[in-house]
Amino acid sequence: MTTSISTGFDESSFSAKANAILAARQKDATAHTLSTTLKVYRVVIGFLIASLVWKCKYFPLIHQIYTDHQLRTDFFPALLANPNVLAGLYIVPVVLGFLAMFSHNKTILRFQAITIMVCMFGLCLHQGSYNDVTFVTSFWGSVWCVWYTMRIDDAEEILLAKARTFALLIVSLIFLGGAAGKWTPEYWSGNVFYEIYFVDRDYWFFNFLRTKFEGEGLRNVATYYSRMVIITETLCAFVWLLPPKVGSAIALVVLMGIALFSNVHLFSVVFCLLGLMLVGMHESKSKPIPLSEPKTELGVS
Amino acid sequence: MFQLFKQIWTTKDVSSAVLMAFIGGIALWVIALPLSTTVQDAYLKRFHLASPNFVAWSVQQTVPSMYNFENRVCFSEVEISEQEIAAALVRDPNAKLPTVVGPVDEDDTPQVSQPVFETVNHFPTRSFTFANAIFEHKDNLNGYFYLTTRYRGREIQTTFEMKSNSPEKFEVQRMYKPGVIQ
Repeated sequence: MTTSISTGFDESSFSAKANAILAARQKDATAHTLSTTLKVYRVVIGFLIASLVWKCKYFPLIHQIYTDHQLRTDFFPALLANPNVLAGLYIVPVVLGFLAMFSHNKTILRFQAITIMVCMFGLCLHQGSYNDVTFVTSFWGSVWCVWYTMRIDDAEEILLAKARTFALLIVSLIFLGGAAGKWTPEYWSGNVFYEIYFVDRDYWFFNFLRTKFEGEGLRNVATYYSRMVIITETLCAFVWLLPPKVGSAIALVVLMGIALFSNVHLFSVVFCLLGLMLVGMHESKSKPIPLSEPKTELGVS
Repeated sequence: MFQLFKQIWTTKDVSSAVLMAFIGGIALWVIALPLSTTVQDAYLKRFHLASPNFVAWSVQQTVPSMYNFENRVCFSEVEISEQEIAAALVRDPNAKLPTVVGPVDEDDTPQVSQPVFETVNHFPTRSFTFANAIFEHKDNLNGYFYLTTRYRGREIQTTFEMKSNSPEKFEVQRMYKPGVIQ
């Protein structure tokens, strides 16, 4: 014999309501996550494009020179010596980066990021641009963008934690690359920077130093300047060991200092790194999204 | 960092693992620079476009290397002997590179110039591949580029010859097989 006990509780109705609430919460959470992760991505892509746009004043002139006086060497393949290929490699990332500021579709975002990375690598190899460090730092920024778009479905907290760490690792690597090539007597003595910057570079900082020092005094300042650069870059190669916010803030100040005190053209080199450091400084204000929802007796949270 | 490794491992996050490996691999290559003469030679040859082949050069182009090494460049319209180059490179104040007598100017006076070594931040080959350098030489795209790059006692010297029959097209060729001097 079965006994039916009525409690006045309609289990199926409650379950349906609970599931609807859960679905709505998940939708809200997803929408929020997407908007935050997209904002972070757009900051990085915006700064990356700023790196390229910083050069736009000179680019038509550069292209004109390469077109008017075509250089042939036995090293570069014809395709990577062609001025029109150079123009394409430069313009496509700017256009795609601009479009990425408005894209929501994951597939499109991934396509844009991968194309930008391929173009940046192409610029690192082209005869007309291989010597420009802007494209090396932008390449690394675009590698971060490709990785980010691949993981854009991850929970916000986890994605942003990884994004901060990778941003710091990339910037540390850039500093390490700069420092290692200066661990040499010619830089420690200040000879190299003296001849590049202190002798006749027309820039406010070096013009100012030339008004204050001359002869051996200026030469000594170059030595201190060079040693300070070597030590700073070497220390900044370890910012990834610091808490992301602290490490990013230090790197941000140093990068700005490099451009302001050396050469304003270097902003094209540092812009994309500044974007990565802003990610490092970002702290999500939203509540962490748990990896699994806690279960109740009814199987809903 | 350990947490990141653990998270990547436990979630089988392939894309993060690939990025981590890429950054780690490049970092190891950079750290090996002061320690290994093989790595130093690869770097020096990269800066003189003298890697064994284009692919070997290409893979190094993602390695950050701004303001690396002591790079010096000299352009001369006439060929300079090895002894004169060697004296100029050690910054001997008595060393003078050969005087170049160019075409006469408006006063019928010959233009006389003296080549000098200039220090550049990286890639000394930019002295003939980069737009501002091409613009500087556009009126006479003939001459010789003497390049040298030095790092911790190792040095590479390369001579390139620039030839042109018209202002629209010119070529630059390596004159000798580059060698690293210890």
